[in-house]
Amino acid sequence: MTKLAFLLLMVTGAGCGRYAVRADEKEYLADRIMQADYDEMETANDQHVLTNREGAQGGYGAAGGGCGCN
Amino acid sequence: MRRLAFIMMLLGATAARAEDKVEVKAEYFTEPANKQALHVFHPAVGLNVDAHRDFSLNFAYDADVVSGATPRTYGAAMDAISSATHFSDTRHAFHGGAELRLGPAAVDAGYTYSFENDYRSHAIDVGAKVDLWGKNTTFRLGYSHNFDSVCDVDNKGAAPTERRSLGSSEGCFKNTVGLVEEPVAIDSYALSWTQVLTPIIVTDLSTTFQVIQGFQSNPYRRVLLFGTVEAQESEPLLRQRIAVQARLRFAVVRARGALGVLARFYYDTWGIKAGTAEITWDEWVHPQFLMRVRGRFYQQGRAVFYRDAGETLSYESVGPVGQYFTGDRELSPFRDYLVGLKLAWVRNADEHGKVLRWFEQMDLNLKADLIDYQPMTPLPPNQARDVGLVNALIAELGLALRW
Repeated sequence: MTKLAFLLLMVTGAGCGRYAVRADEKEYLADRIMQADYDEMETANDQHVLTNREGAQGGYGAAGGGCGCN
Repeated sequence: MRRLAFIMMLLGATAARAEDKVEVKAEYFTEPANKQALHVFHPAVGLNVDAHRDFSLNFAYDADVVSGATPRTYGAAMDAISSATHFSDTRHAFHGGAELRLGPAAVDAGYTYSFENDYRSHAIDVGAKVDLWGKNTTFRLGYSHNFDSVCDVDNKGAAPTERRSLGSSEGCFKNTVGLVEEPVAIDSYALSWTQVLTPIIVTDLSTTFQVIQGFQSNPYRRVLLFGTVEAQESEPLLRQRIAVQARLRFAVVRARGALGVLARFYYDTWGIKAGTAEITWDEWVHPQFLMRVRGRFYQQGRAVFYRDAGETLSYESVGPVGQYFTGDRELSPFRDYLVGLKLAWVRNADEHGKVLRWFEQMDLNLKADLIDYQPMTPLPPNQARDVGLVNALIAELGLALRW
């Protein structure tokens, strides 16, 4: 578990602190299919339903966390 | 506990994109078990308006129209079919919020009021986010607090094994003699980090921490103790929960699609450990048609005070665990599988004009998810709902208009 968390942190942080991707390279990132919570209401409804049947909840991504595409 | 889900949702959802949008959805959820079926109709409407270049307002309303049947008492000696009690209730929730954008940063705040026959909730939420390094990195913080209250029988001074359950919601929140309003305070904290890695890969890492203090039992539910005593479910008054989630999306350019993967780990002070894995495939099958297929797996362990009615050390045999006993399926160990399909018709304004004369985009979508529950103990609560291959269905129809 610790190794997995460390690996995730390293991968996620790999692009931090510099212009890893320029604005003119974000054509694909701008597509809605690259935004995990593009349909925020659907995401909310999903969480609403599932957390009523499962003991776990939380950990959701924060919608609006940018794809860096606009 | 659906209010908790709702406010946690708000932590993520209030940071609306800067766009004018109205959205309507109608969702239907069912667990079609024989004699213990559950039906939930969930309409929702949301409106986001840019009042100024840097300032947006958002409003939302949603409801849950719930009906079904469930056994009021949990225990192996109970006849789950004949003891199933019919119930129905409607929850209404109203939300209003605002977002202010300040260069690369934005702050937002909102308020939600929801009510149903036996529950009231006031919730405030605030959040802030900042885009850094060419918008390749986004951090977001969120906090919410709920001031909730739940209707219950006045059991003041009674031992846990002597507590009576609520028979119905009649008289709740009307100062009725013999009924009380139990407070529930919920503090939720969220932190999220989104990172663009390459022109075709974006990731995010999120964590939430929540503290719930107050009455968290189902006031109607009873548990059979020592073979003869029926007492109101008794759960701890404090619960702290933490979840960490990582996601990655990978654009498959040739296929005009995107692969998404998700992993989530969860732990709480009631002893529940859970993991979630999800994989999605989104694809533009036509310039105006989008398809998504989805698979999800979830598994959780039991709460430390959960005892299954089908096991040797059940509440019926040996009584409470300390002062606690529950008939809540959410606290039993189980796994579930979900498969789903979503189709969307997306029409954008073009050289021929706007969509329906007014809009930049219209998005009409339909989805269906099927869920299979697999209990990991012999006789969990609501076991009748776990029979068969498909135990639950989620169907949703949505329309979004942007201008």
